[in-house]
Amino acid sequence: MGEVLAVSLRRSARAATLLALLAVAGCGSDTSKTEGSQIALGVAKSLKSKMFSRKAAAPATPDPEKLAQAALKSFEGPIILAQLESSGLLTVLGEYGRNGAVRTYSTPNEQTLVLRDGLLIATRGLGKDLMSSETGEVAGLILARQAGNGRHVYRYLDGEDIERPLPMECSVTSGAAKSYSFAGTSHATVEMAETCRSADGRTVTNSYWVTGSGLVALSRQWIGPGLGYVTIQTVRP
Amino acid sequence: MRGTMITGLGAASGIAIAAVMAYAEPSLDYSAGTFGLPGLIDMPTAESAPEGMINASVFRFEGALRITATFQVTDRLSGAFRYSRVPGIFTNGSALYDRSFDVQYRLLDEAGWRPAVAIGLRDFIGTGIYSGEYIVASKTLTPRLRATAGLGWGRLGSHGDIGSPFGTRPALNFGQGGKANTDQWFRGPAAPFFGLAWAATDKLTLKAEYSSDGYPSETAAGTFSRDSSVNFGAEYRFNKSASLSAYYLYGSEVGLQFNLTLDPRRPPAPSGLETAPLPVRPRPAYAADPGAWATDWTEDPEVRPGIQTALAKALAKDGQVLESMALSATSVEVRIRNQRYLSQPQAVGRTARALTRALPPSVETFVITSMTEGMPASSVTLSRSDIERLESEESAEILRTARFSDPAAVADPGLVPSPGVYPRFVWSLAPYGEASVFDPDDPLRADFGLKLSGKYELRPGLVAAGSIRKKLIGNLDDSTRTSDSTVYHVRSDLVEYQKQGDPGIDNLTLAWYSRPAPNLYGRVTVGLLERMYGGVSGELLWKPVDSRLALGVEVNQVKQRDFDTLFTFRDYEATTGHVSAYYDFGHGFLGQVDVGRYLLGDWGATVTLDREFANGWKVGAYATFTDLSSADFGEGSFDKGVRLTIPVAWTTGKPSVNKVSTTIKPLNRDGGARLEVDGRLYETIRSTHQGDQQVQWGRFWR
Repeated sequence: MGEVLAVSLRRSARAATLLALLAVAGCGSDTSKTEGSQIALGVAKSLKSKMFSRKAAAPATPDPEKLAQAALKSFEGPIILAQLESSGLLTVLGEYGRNGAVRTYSTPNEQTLVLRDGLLIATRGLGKDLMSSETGEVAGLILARQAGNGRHVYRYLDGEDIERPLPMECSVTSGAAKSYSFAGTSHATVEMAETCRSADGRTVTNSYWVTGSGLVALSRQWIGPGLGYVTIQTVRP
Repeated sequence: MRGTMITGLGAASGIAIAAVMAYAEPSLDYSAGTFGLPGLIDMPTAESAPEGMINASVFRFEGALRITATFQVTDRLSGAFRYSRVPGIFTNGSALYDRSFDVQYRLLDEAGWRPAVAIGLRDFIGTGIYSGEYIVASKTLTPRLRATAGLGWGRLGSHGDIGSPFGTRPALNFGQGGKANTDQWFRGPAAPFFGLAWAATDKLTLKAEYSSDGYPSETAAGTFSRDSSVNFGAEYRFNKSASLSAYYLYGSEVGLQFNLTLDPRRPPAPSGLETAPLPVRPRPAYAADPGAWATDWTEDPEVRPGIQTALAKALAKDGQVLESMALSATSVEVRIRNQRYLSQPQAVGRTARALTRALPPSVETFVITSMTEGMPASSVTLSRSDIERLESEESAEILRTARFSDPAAVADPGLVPSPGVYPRFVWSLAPYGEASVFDPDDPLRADFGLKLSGKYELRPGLVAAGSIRKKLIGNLDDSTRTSDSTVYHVRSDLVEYQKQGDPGIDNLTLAWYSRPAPNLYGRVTVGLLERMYGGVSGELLWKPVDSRLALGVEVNQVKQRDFDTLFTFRDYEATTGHVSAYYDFGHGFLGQVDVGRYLLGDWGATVTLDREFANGWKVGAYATFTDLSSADFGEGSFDKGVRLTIPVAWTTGKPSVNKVSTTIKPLNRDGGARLEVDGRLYETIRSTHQGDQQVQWGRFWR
């Protein structure tokens, strides 16, 4: 009974807003006919918000340690914690798929980071995604905590949706030792820095804090020109 | 790119880059002249926009209003379409509203001491008010300064000429306009012009020119006085796409111009705002778990329906409809209708990954068949091992293993339809707008209203569809313009339909799509086919899945509808139809030739050329030539127009199969008029065929 009531209430509320919305937005199950007007509405809304912007209060940054602890309790598989520097988005990701050495981790909103041996090789659902990467020689150096040179190829879709490689020449150097504890696990790591340069002069630096057993416990990695850097912490390997 | 890179490098280096930029020498970019194409002010330059760029400009001064759209067709070839108003040009003091086309071709690039050289034709198929030809050279003297000099004929040779090097210019056979004025090109007096453009800053470009345009008609009409040949201009760029130019023209007038540049390769939203695909689930190695690879599941009658239900559910979440499935111990065929992704490979790629999670390990061959309008249009065959192996590799790797084929070539695929897919009903209630922009009496009239549409698919390929519109507000019915066409008004009574068709039925049809044989596609549509015609339309298309060439035949028997666009007809019946050839030239160029009989009974051909980008943008132009005399055709002499298609996903970054299309047709006349029927086969199936899928394959792993 209660459910029926809720449904009919929702219906009447919808009916009330329907007429108001209809004139601008369109409705129905055939998106090929309604989408155009919905875009027009979206553009109008974004213009309005730009013109009359009231700064929304910045959401409180959640405590990474608490997020990690909560995730450990609610999810049984491997977990990472990631923060996108460009947007500030901080989120936990649970392992979603595994193919050989490749692990796909997903946010609750079904956006994914794909890691191979701790090195970020792809993203999905973020927009301007990293399609795939080749990390061959540098991955070996980083995991073995050895200095050396190698090639790191990033691939993206260009503005026309054609896949384009961004090859980079990289040098891997070993830095300071660092021991820390996070989410109930302590890690003894050495910082490995991977500095990469493309033919057009773009330079990026990826940092990996690697344990003696070759686990990338913490890293700051470049996703690409559109998304910038992401910091990834291992919560449960 | 530069802006986003700064965020990636962090604030400190961002400031460093900004500092470098502030001190860096500004370099001179191309900029639009008052005729829209790259130029100084009224004079052209030998510059070109980058390939694929679209520019729209509005220029206004005492002597003219010019609204121009330009497109950089290839690296060297530029085209422009213009709508202009020249006030007071006629003896009775009324203004000339005119449409014109320009082309420019860059013959030589700058190299060493050599300048860039271009040749161009202005207003070469219009009524000729702006007709002129030129050859022009531009040379970059310093990174900030570019000089241009050229020689102009026609209008561009109307002031300060140096004689007629290629003989006299025959008088313009004004006639009905619209024909290429070939006998005039580069004839008559030639006059030199020159000028400079200087990038004062990154945002501000200053220009000066000596104009060889005498504005003969305008000065004769007395609407404008030409006191000097020297013009000055300043262009300020707000950002990469918008700029404003101000001019001091001919010693007497001030002009303003607004420019908007659109780059189809630079979407306003980041692509890929969608949920991530399901990851591939690899199978256990055979040696590790031979039991998992057993095939005895085929004997269990519960397994196949269970898999089909689970798969349909997973695909539905991703905007795909699993229409039917055929499953054996070692292979599967799924027939999917893609309702979400503009790029068919993305739909195929996501389906392939879902299959790795749904099927027993013994199933090694995946056949993913794309359905459009209930027709199986193409199959992609992939091996499951390759999908497992190549998930994190370059998309070209999996493309090398993919095999495209025609599903109609398989005799009995043993498909089991998914329950509940047919019949299927979708509807929509959405606003519509209809504008008339080329009405010389009032250049902008428009109607807005609501349109109710419905589509009912009874079984695969059998579709009933209809839509009704009701105007809410508008002034299209204020138009007093009546068609002056001397032939039967097969199209030119549009104003009557706009006035009386409220409410009106846009279309109400029953269509049947089929695959009569391998490589063949069929369509029969009956009912109220379009706003002005009802009847029967039949089409047959030959298009092998891997062919660049397609051939089609269409025959229609139609009757003209009454102006009230309800169920009654006027007393005009026509048999119209075409034989069509379509060819994909590669590099994004698509050509089409239709030869046949048009609505008026005139015989002729339509030639269409489109430039299609991998992301779905399309810019094209068409022209129709028929045996109707240009006198009978009336103003414009023959039918021509430009068309533009923009994918919705490009503007939002969110996945969508929808596109917004528009055809800009300068005149709506009766000659060379084609029936407009929904669901023509080539465009219906093309995106699923090998050529298009290869172009868009970069999204397979998206």
